[in-house]
Amino acid sequence: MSEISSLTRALTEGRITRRTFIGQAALLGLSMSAIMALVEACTSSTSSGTGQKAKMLIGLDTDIDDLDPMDFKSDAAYEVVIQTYEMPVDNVTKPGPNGTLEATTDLQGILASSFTVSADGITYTFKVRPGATFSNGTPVTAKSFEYSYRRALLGPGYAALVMGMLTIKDPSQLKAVDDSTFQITLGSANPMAAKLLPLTVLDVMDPTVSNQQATGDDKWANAYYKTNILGTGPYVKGSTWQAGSQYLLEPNPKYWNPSKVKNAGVLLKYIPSSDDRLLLLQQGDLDLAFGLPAKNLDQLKSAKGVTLWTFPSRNTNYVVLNSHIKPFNDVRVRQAIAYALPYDTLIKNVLYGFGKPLKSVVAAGMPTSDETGWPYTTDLQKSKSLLSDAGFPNGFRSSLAVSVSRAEDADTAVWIQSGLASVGIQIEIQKLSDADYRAKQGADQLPMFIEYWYSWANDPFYQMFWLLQSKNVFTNLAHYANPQIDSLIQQGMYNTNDSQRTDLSKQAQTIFDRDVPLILLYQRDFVIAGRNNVTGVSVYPDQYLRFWGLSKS
Amino acid sequence: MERFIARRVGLGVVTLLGVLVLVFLLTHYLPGNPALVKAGSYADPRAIAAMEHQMGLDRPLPVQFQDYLAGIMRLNLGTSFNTGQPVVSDLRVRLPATMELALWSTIVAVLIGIPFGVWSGLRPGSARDVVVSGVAIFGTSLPLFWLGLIVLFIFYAVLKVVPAPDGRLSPFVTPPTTLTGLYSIDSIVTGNWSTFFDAVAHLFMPVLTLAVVEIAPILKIARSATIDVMQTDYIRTARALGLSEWQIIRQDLLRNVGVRLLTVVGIVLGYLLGGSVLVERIFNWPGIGLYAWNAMLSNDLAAVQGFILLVAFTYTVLNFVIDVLYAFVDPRIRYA
Repeated sequence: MSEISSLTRALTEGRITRRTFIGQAALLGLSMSAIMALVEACTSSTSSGTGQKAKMLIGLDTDIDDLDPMDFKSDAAYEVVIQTYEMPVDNVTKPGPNGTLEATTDLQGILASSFTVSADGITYTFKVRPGATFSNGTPVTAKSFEYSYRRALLGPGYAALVMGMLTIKDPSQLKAVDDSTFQITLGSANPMAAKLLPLTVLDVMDPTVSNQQATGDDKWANAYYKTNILGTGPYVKGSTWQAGSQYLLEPNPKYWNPSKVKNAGVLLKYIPSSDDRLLLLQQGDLDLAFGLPAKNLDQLKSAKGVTLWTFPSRNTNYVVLNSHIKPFNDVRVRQAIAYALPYDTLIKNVLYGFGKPLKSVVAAGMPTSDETGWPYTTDLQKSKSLLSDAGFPNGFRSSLAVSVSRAEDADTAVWIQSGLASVGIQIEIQKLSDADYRAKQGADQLPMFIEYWYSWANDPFYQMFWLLQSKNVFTNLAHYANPQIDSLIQQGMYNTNDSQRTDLSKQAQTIFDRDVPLILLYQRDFVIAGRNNVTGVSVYPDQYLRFWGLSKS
Repeated sequence: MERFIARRVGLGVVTLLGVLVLVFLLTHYLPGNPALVKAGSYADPRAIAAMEHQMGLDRPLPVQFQDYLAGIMRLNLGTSFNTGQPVVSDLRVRLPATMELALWSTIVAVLIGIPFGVWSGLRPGSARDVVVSGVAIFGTSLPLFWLGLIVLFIFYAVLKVVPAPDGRLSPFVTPPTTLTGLYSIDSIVTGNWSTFFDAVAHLFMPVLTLAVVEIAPILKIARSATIDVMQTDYIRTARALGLSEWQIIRQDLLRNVGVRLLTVVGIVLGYLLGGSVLVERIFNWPGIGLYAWNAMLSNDLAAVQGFILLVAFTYTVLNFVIDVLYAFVDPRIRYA
């Protein structure tokens, strides 16, 4: 009898699902009618009408590898860091369609109760939020801000790149004026600052514990933060934390704004197979499933009890043509390829409609994006003519590499192969492991490969800097070098005049359209798949979901 | 007997050393540079070099091997870059999950395979023998991956009688106090019955899948051993002495069949520890198989090496134990 009561209590408290309850109750010998009566009684008491917060269950597509906010890490690890740490400022949100929350470009204080920007746009002053503490109870002070920004600038990880873009190059630019005031002085006025300051790599960390955990070889306590969480965010590491399996985030009892958290915690289950996540979502054993490929999303379009929250995204997908390898150094060959690809087919057969053609290196949705200059549609005659002009009337042979971990890229490659074959270009598709793919890419051995890019900062020059700048940028995978583009990017990066910035950006886009070092394919939508009863889905510039708003009826 | 055991231990050590060298070389000659994956999209050559240094990939291969051996002596198999944890700790956390699967599926397979194999072998060529042999052939030829998906489809998606294939326990169910790490055992010992039922319900599908595949070799060996033993002189003598069929089976047949089954059960159990990769992948079972799967996809060298070494070690130990038991059961072995 006590087992039955503990089972019913578990169901009432949302610790087990209805399915588990039914299975276990049957094992205890209860009749089906008795079980169903108990289910009815238990679930009616957990309805939203009682005001009880529910625990959320999310299926992850990647595992958690590293929890240091300033390290490069898996998507799952970023998700956890975002829920458990906070920045001084974040984007303001507004209600979107279907009960969603959408981040705007405006900033609001989070760990900073307020902030001001000097008239010349160089000095940012943050007032520390009174009462905010780390999850161990240590108060957040201006020293915490200063330590964290210094760590970003000088410590491990790649946050230094963000600091560089903010034009912070020296620790003297970071100053705790008093216990509650922190000030940063930029190298120059910076139109990207408002887009970079809310990035999660600039999370606030506890200097006291960091210094306690630091060692001679690891003075920023990187080893400690890789596996421990000590933030100020709405959640803390929960009692269930099983590597490779499941991770519980529980509401932070010391959180400064507890009313913001609409659920009683989130259990993250690592389920590597997308088919399994799909099945569990359909069966009601997950509230949300992350990382479902378009093929799975298409299966969910008409599924009962499932909602797809679809947001346009600045996600850019393209074919890289390596200009170090002939004949891709010839602009006519690149243009010929651009005219040979089946763009509409890719949207229909690879993305199943969850996306749109990408027609500018500054993706649609980004300020100054201009699609009008992109001339390339599928035009095989024009493609053949360009190939003839380039000295390849009968085409040529090459290879197209994809990473096996990105299933959609493999499908895209097949359609590209077919499109190019129509103009005589015979390509072999190479499916490579992630490690092999990156190694061959780094060694300059891949003539053509499929890549994607997503700029966390919604800024055209941020995007073009990483994709097209020729010097000291290792993400310019096509090795594209055009002094005009370099100059336009340099002029536009820190230009605070909006109309000049727009003009410079459009000039760069026009040159890109002519040179096509990357063959633009599509912008894949940002889609979150979940059960119908889930509300509070949010979309931020970094496309990581904020769990605090999630609830279910 | 001491010489026999010493010889077997020596052979085991040589085998493990061979495995060590092979694993090290194979994983290092896999195409690709894991440091590039770990360093991420923004990585410049300096960051990649730092990552290679951190992962020890910038040192000469003999030095890496020397460090690797020294690490193994200290039970340090390196750090997995997928999980950020020491491989030894990753394997220790995950091994009980795999052992639980292997144990229960072997128990199920033995409880079904031996009686049916013996039953079938007692009447070779009869209708029941044809049926049982057919089942054995069917079981041998079933692809594990396909079988797992079918089990998943039937019991979870259609019949809805088992919990979601998302781990060892339902969401928010607290694991029992760790004694053996096997939830089904620990929950019984601690009297935590709701967790026990939950653990058993989660074990059902992967155990069934593994057991079906495992039953086939046990059944075949039990059958052929029974046929062989039943044709021996001592069985004929026992019959001539007027012993009942049941007495013959219990006293003579099962003991002799058991010797041969010992080998096959040991091998199957060893296979399950390493061969559960696919089943763990299908049912999201957080054991060493799923760990190895993810490690292989991302060239997580330390994790792959650790997994292979653990399996090789387990196999070697199991073989050693079987050899010794064999020698105890059949004295001819130790003098051979």
